[in-house]
Amino acid sequence: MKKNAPKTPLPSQSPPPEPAKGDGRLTGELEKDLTALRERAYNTSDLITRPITVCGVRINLVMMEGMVDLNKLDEAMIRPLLSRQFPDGPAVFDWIEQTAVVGDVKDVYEYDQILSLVMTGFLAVLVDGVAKSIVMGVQGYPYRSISEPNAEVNEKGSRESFTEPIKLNLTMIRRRMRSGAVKFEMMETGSDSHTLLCLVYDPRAVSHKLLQEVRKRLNRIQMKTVLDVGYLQPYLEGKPLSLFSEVGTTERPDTVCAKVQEGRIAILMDGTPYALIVPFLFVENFQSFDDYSRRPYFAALIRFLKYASFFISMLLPGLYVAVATFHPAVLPHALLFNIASAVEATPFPLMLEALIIHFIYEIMREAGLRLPRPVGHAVSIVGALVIGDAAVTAGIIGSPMVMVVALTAISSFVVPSLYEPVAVLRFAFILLGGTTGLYGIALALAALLVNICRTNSLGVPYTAPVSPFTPSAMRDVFIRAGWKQLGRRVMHIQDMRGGDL
Amino acid sequence: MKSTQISSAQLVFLLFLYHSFNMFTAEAHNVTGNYGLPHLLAIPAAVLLQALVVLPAWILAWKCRRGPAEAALWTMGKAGVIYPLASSLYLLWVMAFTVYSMSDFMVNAIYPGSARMFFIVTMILGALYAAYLGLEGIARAAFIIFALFLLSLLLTFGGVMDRAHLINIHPFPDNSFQLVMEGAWKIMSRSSGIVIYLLLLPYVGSHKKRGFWITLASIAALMEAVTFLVSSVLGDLGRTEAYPFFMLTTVAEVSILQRMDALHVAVWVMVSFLRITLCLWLVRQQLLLCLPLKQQAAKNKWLLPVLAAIALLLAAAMNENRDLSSQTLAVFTTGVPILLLGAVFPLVCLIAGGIRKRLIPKNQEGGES
Repeated sequence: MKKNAPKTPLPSQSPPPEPAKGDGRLTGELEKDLTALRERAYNTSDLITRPITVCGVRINLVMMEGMVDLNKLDEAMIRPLLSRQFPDGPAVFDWIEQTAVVGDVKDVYEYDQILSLVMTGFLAVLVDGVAKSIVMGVQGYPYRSISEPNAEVNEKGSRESFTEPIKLNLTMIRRRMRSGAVKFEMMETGSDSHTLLCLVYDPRAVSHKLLQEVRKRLNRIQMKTVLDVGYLQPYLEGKPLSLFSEVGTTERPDTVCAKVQEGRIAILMDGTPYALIVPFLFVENFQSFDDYSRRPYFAALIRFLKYASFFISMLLPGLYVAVATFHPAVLPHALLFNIASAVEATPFPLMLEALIIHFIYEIMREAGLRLPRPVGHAVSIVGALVIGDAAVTAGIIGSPMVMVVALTAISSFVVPSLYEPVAVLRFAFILLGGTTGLYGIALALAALLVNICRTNSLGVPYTAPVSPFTPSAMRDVFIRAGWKQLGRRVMHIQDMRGGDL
Repeated sequence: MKSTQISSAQLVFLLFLYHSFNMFTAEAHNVTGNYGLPHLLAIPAAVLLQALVVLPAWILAWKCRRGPAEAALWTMGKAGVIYPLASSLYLLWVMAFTVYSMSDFMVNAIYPGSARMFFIVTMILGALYAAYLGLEGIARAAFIIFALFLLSLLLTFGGVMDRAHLINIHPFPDNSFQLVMEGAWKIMSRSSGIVIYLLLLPYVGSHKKRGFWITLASIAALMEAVTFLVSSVLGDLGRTEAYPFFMLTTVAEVSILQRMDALHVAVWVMVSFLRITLCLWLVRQQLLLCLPLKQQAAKNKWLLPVLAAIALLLAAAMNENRDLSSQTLAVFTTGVPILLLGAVFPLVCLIAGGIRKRLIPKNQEGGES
């Protein structure tokens, strides 16, 4: 097998074609084959080969330690095997192939393929005298059970989120879509890690141009090890250095099902408990699964809150600094006097105050993420004291600035998917507001707007359906139309105006 | 080179915002010499005049199935390069004047004592970046800026409506007709948006005529509304103000917002940004038309920064020498550039195309409107 070569889809249910004879293929001589397998696995100590003899026929079970469910194996194969009589090796092989009561059974001829499957929890059965092996899906490795989503919490919907094993994730999706409306296409990536990938899409709804493009971009990946689905993101994005991501992520299988119905493609990876969704639009950052289980008027209110929170978290500190420094006449008189007295009492210019306090906030937020749980609450106490009380009492910052920081911080968690770009832009707008006032903020905002509008997510305008304006798709942007309207016709991603699909 | 396509709706938003820049620095009394009804009547007359002026260019574009600049090259061969060169020069000058006007407004109204060059440099740098991103991004952003612009307009209008007094609107004087015609001519001559429309034609997908009429109608409505409110609310004060619309926003009150000028400034900066960016992008596109196809890709990369630098120098020159800016405005107000690019050159191209049999015959006519 070539190193660093892109991988093609794995053989699935249909029998694999006979590979060409030569190096890498099973010989049928058990000892020779086992030696070759051990050598190719660099004699790793977790590769277990268990010999058994049935009616004089030598068989060897090849597995990775801790990855196989031995009870299932015993029930499905070992006990029935040992209770029967067989004339020769091929008869044993045929019996195992036809009778083993496990879901996934394949014939494999090559050493590398055997190892690849064994390392994902399959069991390989080598029979002396037979130049092929049966590989059975009897995985039994420990994994984290299905739990509630961390970032996409909701009130009324399902509480299931993805876990690390890809097969389990596919099962969760299949349980929700019990028809051919969802197709799974397996791929592999990483020349050393051989990480399993799965493209999930609706073959009737997806644009073939989109599908080809996604496959092309994934096949371009030339990495040795791919440990997280996030590694794939730069390859799927048109502008990897852009502040806003063109690729969505979700922990929820129900979200994947909904997105796939709209003609999008979800990408799952073994070992990662979330999926990538492409194409991804900017307005989807403000949509959550809960919106669709609430009443439309309340969902509309929450959407408005999210949009307002996004702008508050990004612009409020900068606007406050700009208005208080350059345009105080805009403020009502009572508020102006309060701000003026707070500014007079502090030693630093308003811009510097804002930068310092937001920097301290980011330090504490990051510390709160990394600290062990027993110590975590100490961070909140320190934060409340340091920012909330001591800094104001000591006269380092003014109390209006504390309000601004608090409101900004809380608003930034309303739309968690946009936290990263908002955090960076916030600092930029504080600098601009403090040095150039509203002019600088407006100019930067306009440039940012053109930047976002210019972005296309795999052929679909990133700012669709707002611009280019698609009226029929606006039913789920600022408001959430009722289900009678939403259910009448599914809006496919390729129906967006300005798209290239 | 024309793989970029925008819709007619995007064209309308772009042109509307482009035109609306003039409203922010509109000095009605300088346009008509009279503040009241003659100016209000001059606006629809200007709309009809613009449509008339642009008719030859429109016919040329229709007959050749190309934009006017491309049609000039098609009908006149190498001599046709004069059209894209002339339009580039005009737009470069408009761009520099826009930057200068914007910086003038900023220094006089918002940031007294600041350096004009700061606003000139930063605005041109921002426009350079956005022009580099291309027409699609600019057109899509135009819709969102339009929404903000509309919001600020509605808030401003709502904040001053209760102070409008019809008595402040001057009635018709004796020489009304002359004032209306002169006013219409001046409004038309300052509407470089006509040239922008003609140059954007090759990039618009469909319904170009409809987009043109909707733009003119909406701009006329905006101008009427702003002129009416400036006249009726500010009265004679609006006559002496350098920026009457800005003055209007300072007196507009909506709930806790005692002044709308901050919102107006933010939106106006965005509108200026869009206008300057569009000019820069179009100048680049027109100059590329003058080059052979093989050289277009090679020159594409460095042309934008060079053009931005030229515009910066022009704006700086206007900043240093106010006579230059006055002369620029005087030249624009004659209407000669608009007439040349909208009517005279296209007429010449139509004649040349007829002689060289480059126009599409009647039995092949019919196409998108």
